[in-house]
Amino acid sequence: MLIEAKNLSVSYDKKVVVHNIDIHANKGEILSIVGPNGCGKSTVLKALTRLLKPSGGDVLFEGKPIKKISTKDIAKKLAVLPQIRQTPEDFDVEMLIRYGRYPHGNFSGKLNDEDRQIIKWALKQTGMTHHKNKKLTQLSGGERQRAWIAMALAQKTDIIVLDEPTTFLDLSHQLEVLELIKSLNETENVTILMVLHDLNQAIRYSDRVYVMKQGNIIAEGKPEDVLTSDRLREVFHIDSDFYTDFRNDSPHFIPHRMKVEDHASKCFAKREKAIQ
Amino acid sequence: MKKLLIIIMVVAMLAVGCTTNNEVTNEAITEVATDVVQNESNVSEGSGDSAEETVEVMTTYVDALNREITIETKPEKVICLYGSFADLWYEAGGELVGIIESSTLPEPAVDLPKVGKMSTPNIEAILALEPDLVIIRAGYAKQEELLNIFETSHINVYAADYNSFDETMTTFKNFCYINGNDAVYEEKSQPLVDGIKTLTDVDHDFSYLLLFASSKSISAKDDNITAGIIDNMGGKNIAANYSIADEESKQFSFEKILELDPTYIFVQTMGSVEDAKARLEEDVMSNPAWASLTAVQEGRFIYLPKELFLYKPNMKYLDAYQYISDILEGNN
Amino acid sequence: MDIKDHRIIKLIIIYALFAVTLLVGISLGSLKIGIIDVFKAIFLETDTLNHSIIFNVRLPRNLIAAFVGINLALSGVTLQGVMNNPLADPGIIGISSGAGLMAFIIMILFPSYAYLVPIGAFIGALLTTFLIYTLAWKNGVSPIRLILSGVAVSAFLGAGINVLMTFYPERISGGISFMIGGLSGKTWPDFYLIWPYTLIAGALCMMLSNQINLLQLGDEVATGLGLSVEKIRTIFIVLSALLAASAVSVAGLLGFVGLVVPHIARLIVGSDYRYLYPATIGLGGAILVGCDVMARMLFDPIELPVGIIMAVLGAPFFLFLLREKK
Repeated sequence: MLIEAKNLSVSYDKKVVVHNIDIHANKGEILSIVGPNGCGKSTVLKALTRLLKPSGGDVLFEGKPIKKISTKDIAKKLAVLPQIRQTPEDFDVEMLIRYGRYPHGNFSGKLNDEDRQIIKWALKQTGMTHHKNKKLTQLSGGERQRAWIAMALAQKTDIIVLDEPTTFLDLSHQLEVLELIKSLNETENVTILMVLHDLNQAIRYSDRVYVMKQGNIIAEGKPEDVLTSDRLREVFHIDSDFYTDFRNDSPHFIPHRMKVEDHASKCFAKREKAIQ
Repeated sequence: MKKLLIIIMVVAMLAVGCTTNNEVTNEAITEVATDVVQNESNVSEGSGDSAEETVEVMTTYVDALNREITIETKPEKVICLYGSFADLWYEAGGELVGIIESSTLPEPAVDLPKVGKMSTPNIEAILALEPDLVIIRAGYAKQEELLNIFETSHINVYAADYNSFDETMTTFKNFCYINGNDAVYEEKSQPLVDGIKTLTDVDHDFSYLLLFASSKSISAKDDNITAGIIDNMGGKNIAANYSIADEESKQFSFEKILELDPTYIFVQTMGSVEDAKARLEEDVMSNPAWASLTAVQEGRFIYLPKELFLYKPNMKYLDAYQYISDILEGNN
Repeated sequence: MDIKDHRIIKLIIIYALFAVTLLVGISLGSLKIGIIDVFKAIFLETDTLNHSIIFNVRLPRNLIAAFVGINLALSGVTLQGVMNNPLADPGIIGISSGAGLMAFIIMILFPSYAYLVPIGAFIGALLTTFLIYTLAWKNGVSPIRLILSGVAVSAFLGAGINVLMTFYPERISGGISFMIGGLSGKTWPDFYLIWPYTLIAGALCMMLSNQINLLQLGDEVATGLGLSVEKIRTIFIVLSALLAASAVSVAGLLGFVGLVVPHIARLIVGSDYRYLYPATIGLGGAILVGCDVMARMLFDPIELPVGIIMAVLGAPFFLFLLREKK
C-alpha cells in the first residue's frame, strides 16, 4: 500500500465532512474517487496529500504517518494537482515545469544535468516541447492542463494525485489528459489517484473506484462491480442503462431519468408515453 | 510557528538595540553633563547680582533644549532662524551674516542674505555662509531636524525659546555673554527688572478673559506670555480652570463666561487685524448674550497691540507691562 | 535564452538609471557645484565648503533616499507576492499606523525625548505587525485574514492618533511632519540606522526568490511541491516589516513607494521574482532619489516634502494602470 488512511475524519470548523473512512491506494494502480457534489471526495484527497489536517484518524505514506514526514520529502514521492491553482501572468511552460524539480533541488534552485534531462522528458511526455517558451496564459485549456501535468511529472514521484483533472476542459482535451494519465501509468508505473466527476471516465480509466456519499464510503472495488444501475440510483438518484463500450472494452452507462423530484418524473413519463 | 515568529522578533529587537545603543548612551551622557552645567550656570546667575565686582568668563551655555554649548571666542558669523531672536541678539550687541525670511525683521537684518523660510530653512544656503553659530528655534521640528548636520559640520547651534520674562532674560544674558558684552546685560536688564517690579507691586485684583483671534478661529488662552504678564499684574484668568473655547471646537462656552463675568476682556490678534475682528464678530459678538457682559458694557473690552502682545516682547517687556498697567489705572 | 536576455538588459538599464539619478542628486542642490567639483569634494578635499555640503548634506541624504526607496519598494513587492494582492503595501501590516502612533505619542506626550522617535517608530511598527499577525492567526494565516486584521488594527490605531491630535492641537506639528515624511536634515546617523536592514533583509528576500515564486502558484500547489507555506509566509512578513519599519523610522510615513514601484517593476520585467526583486531595488532607489531631487529643486530654495512629489506623480500613474488593465 502506497498511501493509506485509517478512520480518517476531516472537519471544517467543527462540521464533520468526512466520517471515519478507510481508503488506500496500491502501487501501480489507477484509483478514482467518485460521488455527488459535497460528498467529501476533494476533502479526502486533500487530507491524503497533507493539504488538510485530519480531525481524526491517521494517514500513512509508505507505512509511515504522513505528519511525521517533512513536506519536502513527501513532495519527492507524491505530486498533487489541486483544483484551485493560480497562474501568474508571465510564467512560461518551462518555468512551471522547472518548479517540479523544487523538492529535489537545493535551496537556490539551480538545475543540474539530471534536472534538465527530466524537464525535457516531461515536456516530451506531455507533448509540450514546442510550447515550452509560451506563457501559460497563452495556452488552451488542454495545453495548460498538460503543462501542469508535466510539472507533476518532473517531480518524478511514485504517485500523482489529481483533483478533477478534466472538469473544466472540453471533450477533446478531456480525452487527451486521460489518455496521457493512462499511458504514464502503463509505461512509467506511476500510481494515479484522482477525483473524477464523469463516471464513465472513471469506469473506463480506473483499476479501482471508491464511491462516496455524504462523507462516507459507500462502496469500493473494480469499476464494473461497484458502479451498477442500483448503485447509481442510490448515490446519484438516477435511473440508468448500462451498455458495453466495445471499443474500449468497458461498461458505459446512459442516465435516463432523475428520481429526485416527482413532477420531474412526470415530465419524463409523458415523454416516454409519446415515444412509445 | 508562533515560536519561530517570537524568536525572529526578539532577534530583530536585539538588532535594533545594537545599532541604536550608541545614540542612547550618548544622550544619557549629555543629560548627566547638563545637570552639572545647570548647576554651574545657576551658581553664576546667583553671583550675577554682584557682577559689578567679578568679571565672569562663561564658555559653556545651556540652551532651551538643555543642550550644552561651548563657545570660546566671540562668534564671527552668526545666522539666526527666527525673527524675534534676531531682535534679542541685536539688543545684546551681536551681529548676523544671515537671517530667515520673515515679515517682521529687525532693521539691521532686513538686507541680510536670506536662508529660506522658517518652516523650510535651506541647509545649503546656511552652510554656504560658513557660520560658526546658528540660532534656531527650540521645539520647532523643522529646525531641530537640522541639528545632526550642524553637529557633523562642527557648527555650534543655540536652540532658543522663551515664554516668560525670566526665560527671556536668561536667553538675553547668554546672548550678551557670548558676544563678550557682559556689561550690556546688566545695563539693559536691570531697568526692566526694576520697572516691572514697581508696576507689579501695585495691588490689582481682577478677573479677565484673554481671547486669541485669527481669521480662522477664536480661542481662550491662559498660558502664553501675555497671560503671564496680566497674571503678574494681579489678574485671574477665568479660562485657567475651565475649558472656555479651544481652536478645534466651534463651541464657545458662553454660559461659563456669563457665569464668571470677567472684569476685563483682552483680545490678541494674529494675522490681519480686520480679518481677526471679523471672525470675532461672527463667532462671538453676534451672540446676544455678549452685550450683557459687564466688561463689554463698561468699556473694558480691549484689543492688544501686536508689537507688544503677539511677538516676543524682548526688550519691550516693560512697555508691555506699562500698557497693561495704564489700562488698569485708567479704569480705576 | 531570448527572454532571459531581455530581462537582464532591462535590469542593466535600470541600474544605470539608478547610478545616474544618484549622481544627479548629489550634484544638484541650492548651492551650485559643478560635476567635477563634486568629485573633487568627495575624494580630494576635506575641509572646504563644497566638501562640507556634499559630504554632510547631499551624499548622506541621497544615499538615505536610495535606501529608503529600496526598503519600501522591497517591502511592498514582497507583501504583494505573499498576500497575492497587487494592492498590498507596508500599510497593510500596520507599519504606518503603528509607527505614526508611536511618533505622535512621543512628540506630544514626551516632547523632550524627540530624539527617540526613530526607535519608537520602529518598535511601534513591528509591534503592530506582530499584533495584526497574531489576531489573524487561526491554524495558520491566510492573506484575507491578514488584510482584515490589518484594516481593523490600523483603524483603531488611527483613532488613537486622532484622539491625541484632538486633545493637544498645539503640539501636533512634529507628528504631522512625521506623517508626511521627508528627508530634510537627514545625515549619516540616519544612514547608519537603515543600511543594515537594507543589506540583510534585502539579501534574504532575494535568496528566497524561488520560494516567493512558488507562492504565486497558490498555497496548495506550493505545499504540494514541498514548500512550508506558513513558515515562508511568516518569514516574508517579518522581512517586509523590518524593511518598512526601518525606512519609516528614518524618513517618516512615505506613501506610494511600496505600492507603485513594484507595479512599475512588474511592467518592465514581469512577475518572476528572480528578476522582479533586483528590478524593484534599482527602481525603488532611483525613483525616490529622483523625487527627492525634484522636491529640493522645483522651488529652490524652498523645499517640498518628498511625499508630495510622490503623491502627485503616483496618482496619475495609478490612473494609467487603470486604463491599461482590461
